[in-house]
Amino acid sequence: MDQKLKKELLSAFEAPKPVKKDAFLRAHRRREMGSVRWLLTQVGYIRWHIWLGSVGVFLLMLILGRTAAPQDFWAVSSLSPLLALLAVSEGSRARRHGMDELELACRMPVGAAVLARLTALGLFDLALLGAAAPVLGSWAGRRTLEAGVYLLTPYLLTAALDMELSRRFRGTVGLIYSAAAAGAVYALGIWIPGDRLYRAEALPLWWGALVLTLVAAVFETYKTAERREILQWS
Amino acid sequence: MTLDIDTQYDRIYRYCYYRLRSREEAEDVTQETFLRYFASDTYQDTGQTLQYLYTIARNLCIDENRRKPSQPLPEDLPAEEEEPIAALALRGELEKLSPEDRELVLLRYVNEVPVGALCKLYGVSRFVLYRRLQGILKRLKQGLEG
Repeated sequence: MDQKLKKELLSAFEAPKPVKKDAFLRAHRRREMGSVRWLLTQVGYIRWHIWLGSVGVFLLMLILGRTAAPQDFWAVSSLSPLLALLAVSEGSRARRHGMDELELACRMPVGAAVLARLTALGLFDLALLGAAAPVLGSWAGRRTLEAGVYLLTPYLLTAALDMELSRRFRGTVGLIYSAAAAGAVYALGIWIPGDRLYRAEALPLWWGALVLTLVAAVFETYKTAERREILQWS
Repeated sequence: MTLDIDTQYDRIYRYCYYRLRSREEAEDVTQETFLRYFASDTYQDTGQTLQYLYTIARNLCIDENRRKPSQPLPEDLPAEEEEPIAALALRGELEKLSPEDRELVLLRYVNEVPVGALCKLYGVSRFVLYRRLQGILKRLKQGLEG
């Protein structure tokens, strides 16, 4: 719509100034919670062993990266699905323990809470992978960006698969399928020989896969949060 | 999840004013809308706040119009003689629209209610809403040019 018409519409629908607005807002001023504060409150609800597990996987990556031969980069990057599994398992905690009905009755929207927790863990994992990429890259004789792509792609693939599975299957079954998906991504890294998977010619394919898995992970995060909202309204 | 109450107050008030055609009644209904919104913790945090606010406002306006015996002319419309000719022409074209289409123009283009919230408010798909808005805009532009 062009700005001129919009301006004219604003003028055509102009209403006289309200006279009681200031007094009303002063009397009923509410404190709205900002996005950052909301995210921080949800961080407090994430269990400590999820954080600890994530740091553990990160350290394991560093140890493997230090001890493995440079051509065995798969041994390191195949661990990143574990990070994704930990993050997603936290997102489906209520469903797994049969507490999702109770959670739906809470005052705050469950969809927003799940989204905030997944975002917090996702950012934390990205920070870990971001810190690991230059170190592991230098040990394996690869550029930081290259190492970042190799670490991030299996992570995002597992995150997308796990969110889809934990939405479709309830409780422990969902967690088992999610773990199986993480294992399958890990196995894929082992099944394809490292020298073929991580050669320079395959890098464009890796970038393509990274974009696809990123889109899938964002879509799945949105669907997971949306489903909680639909459940709350139904 | 946050709602700019200050901005939304003006928009809900404008919406009520154009349904009730009275500043005082519009302001009363606006305040009642927000009081009901504040009182409900169940709905306001579901990410559908705008839809909820406009649903309350619309229902209150309908009740208010039912209560009134007849609809008086606007008591304090901005002075038309000070308006540019283009704005007057547009006002004339808006008058030719059905009340529902006029309301849709107000909500979408003046109050800037997102398409998603409007679809839920009217219970129609995005496709239907886009087609309807395009049709209204086309009629308005044709009227202004012709």
